[in-house]
Amino acid sequence: MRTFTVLGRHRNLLAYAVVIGIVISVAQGRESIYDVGVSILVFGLMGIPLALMYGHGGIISLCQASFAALGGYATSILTVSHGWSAWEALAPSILVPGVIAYLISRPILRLPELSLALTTIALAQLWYGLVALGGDRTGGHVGLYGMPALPFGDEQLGGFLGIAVLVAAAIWAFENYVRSARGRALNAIRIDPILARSVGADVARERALVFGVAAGVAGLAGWYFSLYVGFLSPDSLSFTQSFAVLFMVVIGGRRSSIGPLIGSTVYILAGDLLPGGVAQGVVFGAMLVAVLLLLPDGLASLGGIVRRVRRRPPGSGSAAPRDPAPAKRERAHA
Amino acid sequence: MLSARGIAVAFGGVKALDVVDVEVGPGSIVGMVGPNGAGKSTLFNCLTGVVSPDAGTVELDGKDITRWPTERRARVGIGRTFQTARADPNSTVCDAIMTGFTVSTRQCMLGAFLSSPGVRAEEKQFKARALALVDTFDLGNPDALVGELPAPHRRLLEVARTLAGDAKYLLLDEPAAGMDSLDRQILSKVLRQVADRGIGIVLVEHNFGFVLSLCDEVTVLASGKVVAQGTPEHIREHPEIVRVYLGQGTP
Repeated sequence: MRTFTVLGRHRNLLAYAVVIGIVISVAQGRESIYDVGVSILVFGLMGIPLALMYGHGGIISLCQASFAALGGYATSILTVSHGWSAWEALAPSILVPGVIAYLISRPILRLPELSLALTTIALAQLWYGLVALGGDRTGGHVGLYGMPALPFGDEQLGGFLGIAVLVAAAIWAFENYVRSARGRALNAIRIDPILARSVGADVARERALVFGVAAGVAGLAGWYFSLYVGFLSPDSLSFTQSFAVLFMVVIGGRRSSIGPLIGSTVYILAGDLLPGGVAQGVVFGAMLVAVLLLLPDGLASLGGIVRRVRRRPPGSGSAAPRDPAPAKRERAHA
Repeated sequence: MLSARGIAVAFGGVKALDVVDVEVGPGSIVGMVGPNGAGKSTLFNCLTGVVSPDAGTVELDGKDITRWPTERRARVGIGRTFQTARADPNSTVCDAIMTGFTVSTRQCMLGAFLSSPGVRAEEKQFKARALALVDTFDLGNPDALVGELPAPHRRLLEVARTLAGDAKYLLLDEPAAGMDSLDRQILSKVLRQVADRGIGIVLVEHNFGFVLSLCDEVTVLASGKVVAQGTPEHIREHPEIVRVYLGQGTP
């Protein structure tokens, strides 16, 4: 029984592991496939905490890539200018964006959804400006290079497996969280903050913590990205990428742990196959409209819909409502 | 003892409540009735912490909680339901009830991410208690979606969720609205059981008959003032009430 429930909870993780296994066996050491895979997974790692934050907590952020950049810059500066090793830079790359996000989020998260999204855009721009004007410390517009290699062995496979394991951990933690009391509180906050408060949730704190964790995981993605590429400039994890991450989460499924990965796969593969920027814009725009209209919970919800349709015995609709007439009678008393 | 004393609230010059007292002790059921605009919802909101009164105090066991926000009141055992059911229509009945455990959970964020043994044990216990509440309220399949429940059952679900939070006092906002007599019977029976466990209940209702048959104490409000206050027997014989509400042939 126990094994069964654990597997049920981590069904997505299992599916993900199978796909990673297939990719490795198909790739046969070909660099190009690993490269595409790494791009998909890095975006996925930024997207998974955003799915938790947006799909479950109702918090839209358009600065997820900026927090990744913050983690990437922490890594680059510490390794290049201060001689830290890649592992030593790991904790700061998570903590710096995480703590900064937590501290600035308390006033921001009081704003309604749209103003919050706009504020995160402003933050991303501010961060971009600071990095670009940072001079020698941040490398300015030119960027920083000379970071150590990823500490997962020299081969392509090692780098790919490294990010694959980080993403697996993110999926696992996501699935655990949404099934905990904290996850239910987060959902209550999205549905109705007044309801959440009535069951004792500290709405501001709960949202700020999730915002901070999402930024921390983005910082982890930035750590990996800066070491993988060995170069970081203000444009490598810019505002465009923040938009792309939100796009992937919405397309793939904002409530699912693997939705962001489905979204990033679609985004990266379509980006490689489609010719120019204009064609991409048209296709992505059409995709977004189609998903928002037909599948508000993204491509990941397709599986659930199919399952539900198949499970429902023929002829049984939803539970038949009982006689609604008494409502009328009651009004006479009032 | 949860009590509100000398409560006065004005909305831009309109006196919604004009010096009103109401109190509920452990194990008793107190009803507030009155026509639309009588001020019963405002009084209710003062008890839950949504509205902060211009004058008067709200006290819990002698402690002044007048300025406490809703979530702090929830943590000392004041649970509430809403006039329109607010549960997520896409969550399961069981999960919706389990939301009520938010107030008593000891799960820390890291533990929740890692699904620590402590978190798993607590979740198991929450699940068992939620299933017991599904039974008590006769809500049927715990895995059904909240959106598929008929409206009266969603109201019962609200009460079940509030009970999950170990409330010492329950504040119910029109719990029987839209219910047929069968659902009202279930609700009455459950509320009486709840009160017998020592939980104090305050409910706001339109339906005079329901309140008079269920409550130990009734407060009748009109235009922000108390018209009558006392036991159902007292209310039934109160000349003003008989004239305005009960004298026209409705039970």
